[in-house]
Amino acid sequence: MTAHVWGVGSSHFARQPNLSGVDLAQQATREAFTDAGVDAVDAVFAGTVFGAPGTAQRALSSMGITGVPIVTIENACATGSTALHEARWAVESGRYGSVLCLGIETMTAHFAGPITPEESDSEGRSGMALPAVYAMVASRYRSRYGLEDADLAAVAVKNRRHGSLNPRAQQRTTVTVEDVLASRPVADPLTLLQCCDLADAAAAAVIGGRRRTTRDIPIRSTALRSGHLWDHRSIHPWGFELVRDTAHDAYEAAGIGPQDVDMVELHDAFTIGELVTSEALGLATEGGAAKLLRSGQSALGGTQPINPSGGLLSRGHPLGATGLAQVAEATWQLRGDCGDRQVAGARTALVETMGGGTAGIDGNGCVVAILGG
Amino acid sequence: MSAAAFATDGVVFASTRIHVRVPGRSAPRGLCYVDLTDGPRVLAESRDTTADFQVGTAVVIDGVTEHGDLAIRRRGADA
Repeated sequence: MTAHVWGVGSSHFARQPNLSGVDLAQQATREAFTDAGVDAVDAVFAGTVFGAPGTAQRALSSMGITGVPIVTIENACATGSTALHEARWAVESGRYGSVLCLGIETMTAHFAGPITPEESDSEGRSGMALPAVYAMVASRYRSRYGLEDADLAAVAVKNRRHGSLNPRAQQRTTVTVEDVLASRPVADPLTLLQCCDLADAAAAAVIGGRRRTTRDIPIRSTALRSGHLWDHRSIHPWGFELVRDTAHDAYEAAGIGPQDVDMVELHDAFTIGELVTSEALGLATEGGAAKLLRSGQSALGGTQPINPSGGLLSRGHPLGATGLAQVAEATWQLRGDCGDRQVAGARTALVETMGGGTAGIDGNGCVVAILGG
Repeated sequence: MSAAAFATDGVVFASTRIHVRVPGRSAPRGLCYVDLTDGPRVLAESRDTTADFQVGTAVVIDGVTEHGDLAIRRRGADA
């Protein structure tokens, strides 16, 4: 039996410290339940990275969702999409008939600036904030392929243009290459407008078996991997192999290749992330990702839009909720409900989320999901 | 497991200059991953934040910073 997305929902994405995790979870869950046409589920796979113990139960009990199995998942930035992966398997194995996936994160309660890895890790102990992790990726990529600053900035320009069409996005204004490059330096070569913002938000998806409605979106495949020990003989930027190998699993399971995907929601926490991930997913040749931007292929109106939602660069990054926000966007796109940012004729969507930060491995976890078709 | 010793020289695998402040650290700071000549890739800090540590630059680890991080300089530069 193929698992389907029955319904999705989310809160608004913004710095909204006036709202609690309970408030945000209620918004996302109620929308997802209404969208799915259900008022109960058999189990909940929740996700939060920085939330307090009991975050999920606290939110769910406020809505009367009690007495069912509730499991909280943590997998760094891939937390929400890991919940989707586990829910899909739980439905397809017959363990549960329906599962609510719920990601909750209140970032402003924990951070005022960039995320820093745990102090017990070498990178964290050395004060290597996450923007520097990705700046190192950009440094490595640039040395191999000759990346121009304008190509990096073009990612932010494209995604902010997409985000300007997304009423749920935190950043709704467009920016120019000049704006991006003139913004405050964060970690060379990344400037402020190339880094996703903090966000307090929740996102949800109800997963179940096949029903007699075309609004349900089939989950063709999901794949989850955690990183290997970082191979110091590798010439690739950090994390490349993890995304590439996870994508390979997902394509194999779905029986399709990257050329068959109509739209992509991928992990653009930083501009360089979109470029490297595009290549790891096989959407571009190695070193060729900038061409997707220059040709317009990855923009709305192009042949294979990437991050039509505006991505993390427009939404911000509430870690536990991000993966499910990507799934929600893919679901809306495949239903044709996205209005001005609709990808025309979208039938197959790919979602990718990559989490990292733990020293010594090339990523905490990566999920690639293929929906629709 | 047992302790192992490696060369103190190597080449820059990737580098950045970080401008945002993190608790307890000054800014800007230069950070590099260095592939040691006969060993692993290590994270190190350049004391000279104005120096350019492009990928492939030959460097030498010449001590530790006050925070306990490996410190590097360009090979051939004054210690």
